[in-house]
Amino acid sequence: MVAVGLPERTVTRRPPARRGRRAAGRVLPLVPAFGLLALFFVGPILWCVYASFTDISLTGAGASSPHLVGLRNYRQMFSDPAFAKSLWLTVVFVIGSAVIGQNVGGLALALLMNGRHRIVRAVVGGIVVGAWVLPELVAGFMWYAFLSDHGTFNAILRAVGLHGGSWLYSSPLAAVTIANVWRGTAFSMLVYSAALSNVPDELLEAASVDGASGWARLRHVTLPLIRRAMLTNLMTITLQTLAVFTLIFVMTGGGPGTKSQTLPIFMYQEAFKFYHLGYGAALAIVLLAVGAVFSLVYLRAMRKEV
Amino acid sequence: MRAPLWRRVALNAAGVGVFLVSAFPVFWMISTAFKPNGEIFSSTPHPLPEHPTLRHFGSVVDGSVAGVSFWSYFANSAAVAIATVVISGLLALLAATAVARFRFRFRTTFLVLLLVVQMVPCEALVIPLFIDLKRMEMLNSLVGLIAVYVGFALPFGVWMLRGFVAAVPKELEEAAALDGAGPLRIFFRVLLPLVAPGLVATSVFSFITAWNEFLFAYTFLKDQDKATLPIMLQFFFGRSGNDWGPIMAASTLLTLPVIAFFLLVQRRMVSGLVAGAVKG
Repeated sequence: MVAVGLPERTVTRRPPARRGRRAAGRVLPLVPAFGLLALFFVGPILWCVYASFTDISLTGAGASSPHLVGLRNYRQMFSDPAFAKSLWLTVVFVIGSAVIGQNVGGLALALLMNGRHRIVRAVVGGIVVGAWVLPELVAGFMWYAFLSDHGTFNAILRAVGLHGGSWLYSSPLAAVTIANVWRGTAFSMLVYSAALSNVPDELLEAASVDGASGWARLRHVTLPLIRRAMLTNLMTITLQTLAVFTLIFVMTGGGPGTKSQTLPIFMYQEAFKFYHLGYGAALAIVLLAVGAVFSLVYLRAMRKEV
Repeated sequence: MRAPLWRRVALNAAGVGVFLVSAFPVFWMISTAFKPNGEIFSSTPHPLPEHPTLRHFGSVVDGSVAGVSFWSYFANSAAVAIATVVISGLLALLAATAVARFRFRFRTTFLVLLLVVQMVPCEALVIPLFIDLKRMEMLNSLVGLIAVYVGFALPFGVWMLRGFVAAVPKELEEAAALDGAGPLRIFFRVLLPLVAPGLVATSVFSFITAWNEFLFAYTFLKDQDKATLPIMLQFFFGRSGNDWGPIMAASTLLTLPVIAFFLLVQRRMVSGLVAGAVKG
């Protein structure tokens, strides 16, 4: 321990010039990472805010010399029925597929797996997580193939004597919601499995001795104990789902019409199909803002508990 | 507290049910990839290929469907993913060491920044990054794509490795310093081996993310000879609509490396990711 103390003392005696160099040496390893973060996160966000007040476009006059147009993009947005619809679809998609589907599904799966046979746990866990590491693009193809008119789902329905349907045309939002739940539930399940393993068995046993039913034990013992994990999980999957692009792009392309055009799809099409980069940037800002609102709600809920 | 037998059987059966639902689309993908066209497009579903064929894999690999050889896309994808893993791993480890070991002025600012950027839905940044790369003349270049992927991999990587570095006893490094090892030697010979498990977990994570990524590659890369595998897949899908044999064969090929990597480090990665999700 004496040996450990020695270098510390010599450090404090260094002359100021060398101390300054040492401080620089401490920050140096941070510089590349910080630079990249500034270049690819902070810079783009700030630029996006700026661009949303301009008429910048991918081609034409707006490409070479964009002008500041004040709030024009935002005014256009709020009078655009396509935007209102897109915002609504996004909220429905996030609540249906993340807050309800993945979250409740993940909790149910974690509870189901808690205490099952070791082999069942390993196999089910493996395959559910497998669905999660699968490329989003491939998941999109699979579900497109599964739900398309001549797809497997309709063939199964026919085999049991039911009528099939054009699922991707009649209910596109439901289709992409189910696909996203299938893909993302694993993450919630993992978080909840970890949280459940920290719930002491004695508490559950005591509650059960006092005559609490299974539901009451879940409601009054387990859930309050995993509240923090639940809020963290909700925040993570909400932000992930908010940004889902590839799955919807492949399965429906936002259509038919605009029936599954969530904000990321809307933003992408405005920017890269119609070349309205300024308007697209304004939509990106709204997307970021929706994410921030959800995050703040969860963060506040997390704080309240303490 | 042992549940009655019927209950245990029922719950395990429910587990098997979940397994079937989860596995079915993947099973169907692989099985379709091996089916001849007659079985793919017949009106009665064939769960398993009755006359398995490698034709679809052949047409994907020799490039007769896409026009450009599969191996060109594969090489691009591999180069991008490997470069992302190596560069982001190194930079994240450096930053994590600085944050975990030293006190300096903007340390807290940096940590807060890390947390905040982890909450940003990256897809929202596709427009500004497109302009960024265009200005730097790195659009349509693999280097630009790698830089973006490294940027995206860093916050999670630094955050996770910070914990691993902090867990290494400082005395070890000090002992090495007393024995006359310089900072670089300490970094590579003492710290690196001890944080290797964390590095493996973050590497697998950034590999899978880079390998699977579609939106940014699709937006930034315009030439087919620069494109990565997901773009080739999308190209197939868009052009041949319902030619499911090659699509599913290519999907299977795209998925194989991910599944292989995943199985290799499954347990470590899962616990690491959960730790990252439940970050303090």
